[in-house]
Amino acid sequence: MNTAPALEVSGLEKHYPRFGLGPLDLTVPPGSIYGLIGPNGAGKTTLIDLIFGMGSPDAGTIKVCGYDHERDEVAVKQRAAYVGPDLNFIAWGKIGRAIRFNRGFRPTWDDGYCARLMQDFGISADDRIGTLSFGGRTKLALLLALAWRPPLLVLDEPTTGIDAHSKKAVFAEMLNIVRDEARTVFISSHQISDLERFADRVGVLHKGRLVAEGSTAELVDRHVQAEWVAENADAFAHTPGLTVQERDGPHWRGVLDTLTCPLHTLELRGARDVRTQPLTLEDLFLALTQ
Amino acid sequence: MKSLIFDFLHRWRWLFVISLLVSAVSGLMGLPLILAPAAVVALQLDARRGVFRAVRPLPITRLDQAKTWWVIGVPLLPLLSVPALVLGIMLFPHFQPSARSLQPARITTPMTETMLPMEPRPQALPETSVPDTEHRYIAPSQAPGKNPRAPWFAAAVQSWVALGYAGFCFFLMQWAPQRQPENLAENVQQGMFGLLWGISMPGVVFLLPNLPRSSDTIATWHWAVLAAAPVFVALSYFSAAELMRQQMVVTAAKNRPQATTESLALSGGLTGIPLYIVNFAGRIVLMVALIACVQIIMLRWMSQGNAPGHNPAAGVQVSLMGMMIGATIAESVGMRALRALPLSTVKLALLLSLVPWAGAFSGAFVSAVFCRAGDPSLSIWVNLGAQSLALCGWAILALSITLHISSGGRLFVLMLLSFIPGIAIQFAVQYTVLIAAIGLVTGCAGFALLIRGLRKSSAFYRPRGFFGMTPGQPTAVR
Repeated sequence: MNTAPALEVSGLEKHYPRFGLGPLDLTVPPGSIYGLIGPNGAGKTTLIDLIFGMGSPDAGTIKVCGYDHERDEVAVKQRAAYVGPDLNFIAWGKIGRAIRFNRGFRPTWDDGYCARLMQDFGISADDRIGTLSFGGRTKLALLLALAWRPPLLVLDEPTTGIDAHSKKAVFAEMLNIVRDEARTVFISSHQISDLERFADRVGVLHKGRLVAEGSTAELVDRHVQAEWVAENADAFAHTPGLTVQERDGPHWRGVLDTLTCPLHTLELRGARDVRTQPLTLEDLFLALTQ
Repeated sequence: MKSLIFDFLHRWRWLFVISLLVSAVSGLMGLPLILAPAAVVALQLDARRGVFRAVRPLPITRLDQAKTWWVIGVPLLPLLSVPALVLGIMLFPHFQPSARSLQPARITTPMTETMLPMEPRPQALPETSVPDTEHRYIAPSQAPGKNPRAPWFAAAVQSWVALGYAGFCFFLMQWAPQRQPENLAENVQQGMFGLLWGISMPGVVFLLPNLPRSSDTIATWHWAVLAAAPVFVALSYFSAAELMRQQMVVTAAKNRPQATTESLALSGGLTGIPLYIVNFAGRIVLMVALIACVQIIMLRWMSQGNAPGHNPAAGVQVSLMGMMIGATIAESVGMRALRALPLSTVKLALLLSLVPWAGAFSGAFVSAVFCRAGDPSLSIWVNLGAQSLALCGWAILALSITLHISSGGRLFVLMLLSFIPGIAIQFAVQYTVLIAAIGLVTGCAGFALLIRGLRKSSAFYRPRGFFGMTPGQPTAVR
């Protein structure tokens, strides 16, 4: 059995005139749901594009199930399925034809599973792709990716534009995937609350760099929001693990990574009346990417 | 109303500038007003991207909005073109070459030669045969004394018919589909509209050059066309309100029965690459065949039943269409979806090339076999091979370059790159083998560029715009 990480990114860099991704190191263990969150322009889609050879990195390597994404590009795509918001199947006319085209490339295609997914998503083989809403097209892309049961499912904003029922169906399928077999889901999303519920591990990408990474529970547990009073303005500048969110005279508010910046660090630097409260993943995301 | 018109003029200023330049050149050189329906086409594109809907909430009555769209679509461009046309005609004498050096072969206008292919190319005229009149312009089909050009008359006829043609296109627009067809009746209706709309655009290229240039050359069908112009203008005016109503109708996809495993199994047959080939390459072959048929029928009609025979410009048009449609279809399939398939970069490049190749080969087939273009000293099949090589080579280069450009400007690049081999194989027939060799080299370079682009260019995977619309890869709402 292949025990290599489902996705392994090492020293990845990609530079554009106004944006740079990386250096980025990231490992997704097999059999997990990995959520990548980040604001617009953080580099999530760039990273996913590079996995599938849509552009080539300036430095670094990407491995999918142990296969190099450039040297073994076919092997990578035999193991990884891609769903993105810009996927386009309109030229195929009807959903059935798009399914037939994709089925020809996937020996493990499961017609029964495909039919069930179509029922779950409320689409039909006779539907014209041009008549589908944006959400409908996303569902089609999801169906084409799920129906051949890929070892790694890479989803770029899969729930954008789809209704609550379909979203529930998508996440249920993802849970089935990782429960039934040791398959992996790598998902980039703006729906942080969904990821908080479903993702085993989360990475926060900001301005092309991974600013936090770990299991979802661990990330949420180790970060706290703190409020304190202090007169010394310079005492908290550039403190590792402390992200100052707001300052109003002597009143401060910030997020602490208690692993690198324990609470007593604040007191050592002159803080008094320190109060803390737990964070949600969304609060953490907002604090880290402000 | 004025604000809407100025807004339209501002957004499409480049189109109007080109149209006015073409009008001035038309007046100067006696060319037809081939951009007559340009404003209607722009209006149709505006309608498709929802401008009508966006404007509807403005505090203007529906009738006034309808009238505004009619003014924009029908009389605006022909009226604006008149001063440019007049200017061109007034400048005509200053650009007139000496009558003694006037040779018909030099002053042949491509359009007049194209559209009347059955007439023999006139020999160089004896110097004394050219009357020393103010307008010495002589088209090949208009030998001196037979059909002298009367520029003011010709311009008036062109403008009159251009106005009518714009009216015809505007009238047709009310049947433009608002959504994908969902049953046979809608398919037929939309197919009919597509056919008429598709024919009406190149139709202007066939019609206008064959209009009379002087009062003594008016044929019966000219009278019919001249009489139809005001009818279509009137029809378009009265259909403007209906056009507005159609644009405001919100249509939604109907509910359909859910799929079952059985229905999927029954829909088997071709899958994967064979399905791609049949679906896209087959489609383009049929499209080129249809275009060629329409062209032959129209040429026969224009020539009153005579066989068209050798017609280089028709060959250029078909090869151009084949290459352009091939590249457009190839890029419309969606690069992201294709790139995620388990195909190596080289195989994917080959798959992408198949459709432009099919289009280019179909164009070459029509050009070499039906239009008899090529080196007359070579057999048809050698000419076919050479032209196929040339067109396929340039087609793959055109595809590669246009995939590197995600803006609407790529269509102009595509058109330019498609023109080069089309014109070369029709008008430089003595260099057929050389043109084929250049095509081969171009094809290799294009294929290498395609592979490079698939690997490195992010433009390949961007949503591709088409004058504000995204018929190919849709833009995500993030």
